[in-house]
Amino acid sequence: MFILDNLAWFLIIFFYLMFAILKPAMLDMSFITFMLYSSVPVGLLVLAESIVLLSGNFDLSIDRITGFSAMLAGKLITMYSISAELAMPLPLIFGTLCGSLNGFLVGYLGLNPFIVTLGTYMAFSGAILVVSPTSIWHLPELYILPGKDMIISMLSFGLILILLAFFLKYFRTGRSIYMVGGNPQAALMLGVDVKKVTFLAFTLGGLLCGIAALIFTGFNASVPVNIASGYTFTAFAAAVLGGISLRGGRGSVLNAFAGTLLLSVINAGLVLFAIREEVRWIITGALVVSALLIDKARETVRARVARII
Amino acid sequence: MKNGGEIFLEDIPLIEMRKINKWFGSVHALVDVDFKIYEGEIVGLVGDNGAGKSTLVKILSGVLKPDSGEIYYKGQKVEINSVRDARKLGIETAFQEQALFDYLTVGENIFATREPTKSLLKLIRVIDYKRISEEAEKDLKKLGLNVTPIKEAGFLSGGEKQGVIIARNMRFRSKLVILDEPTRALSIAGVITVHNYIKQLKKEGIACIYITHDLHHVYPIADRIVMLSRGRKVLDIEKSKVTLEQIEEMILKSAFGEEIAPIS
Repeated sequence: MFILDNLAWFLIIFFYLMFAILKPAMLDMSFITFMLYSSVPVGLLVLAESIVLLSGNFDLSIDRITGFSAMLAGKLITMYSISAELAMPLPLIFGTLCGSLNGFLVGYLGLNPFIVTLGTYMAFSGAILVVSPTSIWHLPELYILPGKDMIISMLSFGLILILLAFFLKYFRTGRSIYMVGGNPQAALMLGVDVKKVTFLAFTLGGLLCGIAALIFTGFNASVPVNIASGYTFTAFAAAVLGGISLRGGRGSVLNAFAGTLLLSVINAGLVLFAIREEVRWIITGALVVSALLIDKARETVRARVARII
Repeated sequence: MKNGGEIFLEDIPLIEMRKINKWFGSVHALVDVDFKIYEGEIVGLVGDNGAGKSTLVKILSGVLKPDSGEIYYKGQKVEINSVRDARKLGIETAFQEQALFDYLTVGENIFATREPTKSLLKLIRVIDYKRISEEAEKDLKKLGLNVTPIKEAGFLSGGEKQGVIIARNMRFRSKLVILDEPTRALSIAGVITVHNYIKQLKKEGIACIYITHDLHHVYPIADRIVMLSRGRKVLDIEKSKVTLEQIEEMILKSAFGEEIAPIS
């Protein structure tokens, strides 16, 4: 059970050592740093997805929320020459608003999260192109700094990860996310405002997408039209590989981070072996499916253990 | 009943429901149901599936609203419009399989939503897990439940789960605990264990509504048996006044549509 819960950490060590033996370049310090740095933007999306999954829902629109927030902020900044200090909170605000829209529709109106976030996925995709059909360049230097500077980028991610883990473990509101995800009926009977907690989980996810938007922008030193596109499923895979249950209420964001690292290590290994990108996509797809298998295996083992004890 | 101007608390029911009616579309789920329970009393609420047992307790626990009827708490008329309203009155409900969080520990389950907090660096208040474990350990020991507070609730047996629910209610001094089929799918030993937990509730003066379709489970422990059939109360009798066989006979009669002469 312990191994299955923390499987991602073991797999990281396994894959890393395997790649390192075959390609010693994997041990190179600058390579490791770059690997960590390049997993920051997607790592934020993993956290966004994790918090929504923990509340017993899921969000298919996170990469489009990120894209839309980045694009809208970028467009406004270039159009009105907004200073970097004032501009930085913009993607965060847009992300939060997008997340709260999903949260309102799912939490307060009780609509199905799959259909809602598929709908907002499409709507945000369209909105990105409405805002700007072309990539946005020439953003203020300070605005792109958080995502461009390796140290700032990694440190802020570390800080966000710790704050989030702390919030989920040591605050009643954080615990109520687990309760709502684990057993919404029981939470309701204990007086938890299930609607509000659902709304909050999506909104917090949106905020993390907004932060990801800022980091993605810095990472690319621009806002490409396809910014963050396709990362929703990577985020899903990483979260589930890291032990976040698709049924809600179980898992930790620290382990979800391990899931992110695992995908980065595998991806980096494949790059070193010069595997073509289309093949890498196939492998990532296979990993998503195997993440589901691991999730299922985890539940089966749990049920067995419960019977034995 | 008065005694020198003072009213005995025991004479006023903790909860009294009067003439409760509830419709679901064209189905009259509860028909003029009167129900009362006193402090520390164990009431066995029996009846077949669809008799109205869950509808009645859902009204009491704030999940459903009655279409008509009144609810009194210690003689005062109250409105229970939400689960929160019910909880403010000290009414806690444990529906089947819906009372515990399998992925949280036993301690966290006992304290769920009411976790003790401590000050961190005099800045913020955070959940005090050490205290949860220590206090939960005491609660479990007091109840005679031999599980560790750091075990995940999903790994508990059915009887142990009921114990955790009762530990939770004893700790937070609920006034009325509604248990939905607490002994369903339990072994004979399990039933006896759960009954011992319920007796401890009673000892603390906590009232208990014990819902079951199995009269044999609740009869040994109940102070009073209330039976619903097709939305109507067909029986409300103190156990001391009637034997199990007599009740069974009445149930059979009601099943064949005969009128039951009310005893009480």
